[in-house]
Amino acid sequence: MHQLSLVFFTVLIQASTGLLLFSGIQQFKTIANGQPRIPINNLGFQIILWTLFTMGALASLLHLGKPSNALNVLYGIQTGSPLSLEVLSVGVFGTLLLIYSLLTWKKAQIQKYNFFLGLTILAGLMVSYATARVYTLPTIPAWNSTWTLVQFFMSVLALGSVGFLFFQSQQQEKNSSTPQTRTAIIILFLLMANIVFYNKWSNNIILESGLALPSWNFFIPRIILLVTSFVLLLFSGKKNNYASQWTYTLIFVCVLASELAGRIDFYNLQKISGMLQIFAY
Amino acid sequence: MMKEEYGFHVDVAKCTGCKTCQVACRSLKESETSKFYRRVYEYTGGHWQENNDKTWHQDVFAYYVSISCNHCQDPICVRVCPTTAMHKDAETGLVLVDHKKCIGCRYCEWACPYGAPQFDPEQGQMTKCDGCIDRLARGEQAMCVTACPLRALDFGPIAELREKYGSVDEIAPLPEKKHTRPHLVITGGRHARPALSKDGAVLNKKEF
Repeated sequence: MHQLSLVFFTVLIQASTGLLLFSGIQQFKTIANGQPRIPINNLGFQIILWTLFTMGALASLLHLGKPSNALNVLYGIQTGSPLSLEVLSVGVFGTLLLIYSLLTWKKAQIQKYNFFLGLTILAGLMVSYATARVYTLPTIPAWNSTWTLVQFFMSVLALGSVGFLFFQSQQQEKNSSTPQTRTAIIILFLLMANIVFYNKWSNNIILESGLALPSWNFFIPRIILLVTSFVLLLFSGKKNNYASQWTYTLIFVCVLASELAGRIDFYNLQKISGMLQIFAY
Repeated sequence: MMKEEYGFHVDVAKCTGCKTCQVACRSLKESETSKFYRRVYEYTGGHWQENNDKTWHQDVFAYYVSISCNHCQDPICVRVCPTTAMHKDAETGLVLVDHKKCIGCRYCEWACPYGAPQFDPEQGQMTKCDGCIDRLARGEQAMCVTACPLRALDFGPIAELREKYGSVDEIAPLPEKKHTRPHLVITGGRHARPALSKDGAVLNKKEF
């Protein structure tokens, strides 16, 4: 599967956006109360965030047959190529993230940079929008739908919410993030509903194209991984119930694996396209 | 402004599926790539049906469609290319790859509904039918056209081809023309089915 590097690129960049989004919301909420308990410029958080972003960005380069020509993507900005605009958006997001990290590095009071943080989060969300535009091609009916956009933003929300809980669990002994846990539970429920409806829709597209359904996809493993995460979150979200770091690590790994598997299924749907229908499945 | 826009004519009624066009093209271009720029699809279908008097009749059909890049009027591969490597030649309107620019991202391959741009792993770049532009410059015909023993293929300015052969440019198993406006003229035989028809299936998938 030649798109495997793109699977990692899209999912990891969306994970970094989601993580920044939920941490940012936490930081905005604490404006009135002074410094958040775990600020974004915390070293552990920065390591997780930059690992996700850097691995995602490097994975995108692995997809190229001729990486030495990579800078040529700038030519497509003037012609409005969705791929060039996506690369540009990743560049803007990365630059803003770097500036924010440098501005807040080892500072005690970082609230005054909240506007810049908001701008960086917005740039991250724009990456997901630009990525969705790359795939909404009129010649690929299985991609040319609002489902593509919905899926990418659901990845941001799911990975961001459980990623944030995972990060918090690394920083404190006792879980005191019940509202965030509730949010993550709701998001995982919505994600599972989204997967069920999307699977039904994409199967219809395949059948309408006169093709046999694929002999396998990751629908069942994804649901199993998400139900596991959902149940673990339900227990960890109960009042006075202590959830260990390992629980949140397991939840994050399960959701990440589920999203990676879902993205592989997404790329496999590209075969439902024009002449490629002839060779699909 | 293009001086002329070139395209292909495919006479499905004449084509016997001998694949000489496919072989000739590959032989000419094999120093560049091992890909099939021109492919001959074998499209067949039909059923046996019982009559009222208990006898049977059949409506089985089969025909061949020889297809390469259609050097479209509005090529989606050119529209989506992030490097402008995929471009239309100013003189002939042929869709070409500039290998100095191509990064091998395969976005054109996803977008093209005809499967014309193909990735060459050895070069790490896209390759495709160039309409034998070098032969054209020498006043020669495209290799596939020259090789066709049935004279089922033609290549030239699309306006002339349309005047000569008509304006049909959709047929099963090809996709609809609406996305790219192909520079293609098809003479369908009596068996020809419309684009997106589910009457038949391509039988020679494994050849490609």
